[in-house]
Amino acid sequence: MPRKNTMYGRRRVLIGGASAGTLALAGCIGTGDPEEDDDEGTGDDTDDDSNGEDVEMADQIDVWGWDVAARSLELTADAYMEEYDATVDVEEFGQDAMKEDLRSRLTAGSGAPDVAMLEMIDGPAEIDTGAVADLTDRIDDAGIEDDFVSGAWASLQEDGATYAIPWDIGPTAVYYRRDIYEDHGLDADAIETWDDFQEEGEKLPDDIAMFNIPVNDLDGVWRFQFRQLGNRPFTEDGEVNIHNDDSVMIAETIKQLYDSGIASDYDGWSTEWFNGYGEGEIASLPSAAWMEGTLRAELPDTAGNWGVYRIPAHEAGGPRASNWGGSSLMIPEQIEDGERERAWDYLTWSLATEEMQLLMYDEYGLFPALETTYDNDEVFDEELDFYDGQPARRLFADVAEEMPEYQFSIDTPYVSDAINNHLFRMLRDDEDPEEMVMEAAEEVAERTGRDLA
Amino acid sequence: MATKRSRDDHLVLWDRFRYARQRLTAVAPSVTKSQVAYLLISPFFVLFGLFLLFPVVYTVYLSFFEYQGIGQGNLFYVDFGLFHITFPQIAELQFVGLGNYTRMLGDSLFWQSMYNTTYILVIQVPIMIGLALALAIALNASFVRFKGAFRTAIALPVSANIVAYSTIFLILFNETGFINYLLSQVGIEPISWLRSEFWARKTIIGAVTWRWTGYNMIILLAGLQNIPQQLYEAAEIDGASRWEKFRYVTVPQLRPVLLFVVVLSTIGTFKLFAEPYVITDGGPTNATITIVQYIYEEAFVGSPNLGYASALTVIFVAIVSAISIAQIKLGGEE
Repeated sequence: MPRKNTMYGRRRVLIGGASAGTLALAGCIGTGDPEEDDDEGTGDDTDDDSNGEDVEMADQIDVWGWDVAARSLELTADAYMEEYDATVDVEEFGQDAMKEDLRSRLTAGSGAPDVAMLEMIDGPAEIDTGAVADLTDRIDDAGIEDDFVSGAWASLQEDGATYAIPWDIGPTAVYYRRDIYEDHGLDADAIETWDDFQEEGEKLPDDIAMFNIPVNDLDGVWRFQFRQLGNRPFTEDGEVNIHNDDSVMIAETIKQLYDSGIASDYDGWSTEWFNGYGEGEIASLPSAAWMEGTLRAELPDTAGNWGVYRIPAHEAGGPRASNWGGSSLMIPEQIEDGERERAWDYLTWSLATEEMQLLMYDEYGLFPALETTYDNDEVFDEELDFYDGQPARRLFADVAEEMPEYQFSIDTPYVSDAINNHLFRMLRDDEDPEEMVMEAAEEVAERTGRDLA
Repeated sequence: MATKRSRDDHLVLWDRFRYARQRLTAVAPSVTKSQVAYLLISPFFVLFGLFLLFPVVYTVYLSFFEYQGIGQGNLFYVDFGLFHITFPQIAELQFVGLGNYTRMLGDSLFWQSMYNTTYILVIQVPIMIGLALALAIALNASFVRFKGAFRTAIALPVSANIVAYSTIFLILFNETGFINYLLSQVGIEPISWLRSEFWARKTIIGAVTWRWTGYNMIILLAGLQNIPQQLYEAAEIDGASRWEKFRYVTVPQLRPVLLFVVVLSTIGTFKLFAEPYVITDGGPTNATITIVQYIYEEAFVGSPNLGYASALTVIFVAIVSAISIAQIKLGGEE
């Protein structure tokens, strides 16, 4: 027994002494990162791995996207894996599920995929988390900036740095049902302004709506018109500018169309909404290039009955090009260097090569942000069966090259919320457009701590 | 052969284990009996501290800061020579003092969400508890048959998944939904259940009441069955009417259970989230956005305002606690 006890004591002293010794010798506790050679503390998110030739690319990466976009990434992943000795796993989510999951993994600092889809409207907010890798140097080295539509970059940049590569954009157009227009004597070519649009729409019988005003997405309707007229929600100095004359005119236009009785008011993307278009109760659909993919997938029976024309102008001779939606691909800051190299390689393969962009466009209707693809006459001048032989892609490409630049910001959700609520009240309660737009601007100013322009 | 060898292996393994155990007892620091007890209950406290205490404390801490993105470096590290443990910095924070709390005072959407939540609470909880009590008394009456079947049917909604049943409500109360179809059959104009502020709030109230009435009824029923029968008999002998029996026997006897139900329902409705999130998405014009939904949006939708969301959470918890304490104080008085 005593022997045992002394052994206890001796061992404990030894171990205690040893650990204390190591701690003391090693300098033990400190702040920051113990690996001194790391570029910790510079505050520069770029890391010095843009000279990443000396880092070996990882064998496997995970890529996240939703719906059709994820499926189109599978196409490029298959092509990539045939070409290179690496595995690209694409995981498909629902849109909201992925946004929430990704956000929590980004802010937690671990568990994020190596490449993730990023909607342009969410760009500034995600970049603001500080969890998205800065790609500026890589983009400069690759020299790909000018290959993309210039309007597509703005929402992916902050303080002169770029955090994602544009993928698809949404050049706007009005989709219309050729059969309905023909049956009731509407002339798509005669529509140049919203007044013309209304005039043609009034030719339709009462049980067919000229178009739908999605009362749950009025900010989307407002935004594409606001951009069409070359506006931005905030001025250079950061003041709220959503109550200018153009904004009032847009609100008036929406109200006038609503009050004229030619519009239905289903929620966008609801069952009734799809039914309305499927059964020919709604004749036209102001939307963007990506809508073709949805229509082809959800309403296959209507293929061949569709046509497109440019969105109407607000005044005769006014601009008729804008953009609605669009997305990009980004690389989270948290992933390892090897994965990052592979992610960048796959990302540029998918988005910066014409072949892959056109593959995704052809298969899933994701309109390429890669401007150099538009020169491909074979693809863009093709007479498409879906549009009854109309070379619709050329129209979208022309719109894409004309569309004014637009910049989302971290305060975009406040703008969306205020515009949506106030325009909704304007329609439902017959409120004055100017007053509603003004109130919306005041609300945004109050909630973001900005001034009114 | 094979069995013998495996038995040998077994023995060797056992010897190894014994040796390892000896070494371990020799190395491990000796513990007293009371220390063993603490050691054995420590897993709970470690988990509790990690997953409950730390988040709560950190939320309060965060409420004095502005969140500026995830942490890039490490907070500190401990170097053991051969290996080291690093503690990463959770977030980049900027101290703003009471800034988040003063911001709340002038935040119209905060007040709107407080108003919405209170509005729903003040109407929903009394209706639900009144209904639950009435149903419980009815089912407790001796002359009712098939009690079990009724009880089950009324209590069943609570087993419905919140998102699933909310989605069903959304479909039913749609502009072109089933409820409006039924109304049209009896000649009533369709109602904008989800597009009018007035009706959207009522729809939420209806949904929550549908789901939770049965649950409360079961609790109240259990309370009713605990009231001794002789009290009623004594009251009857004294010539008490049915109302008097309810007023002077049932209510006082049921008081603790009733209090429990009221406090739980108040807290439950005050932290309402899933129903407005799914059915109305806080709309129309933010008329049904609740305080918890607002916290969620500040924290996780758009740019992450974790500091402000934490301050909202602190205030929210303070209000819920105050209401609960007030209810217990008021209801507990004899």
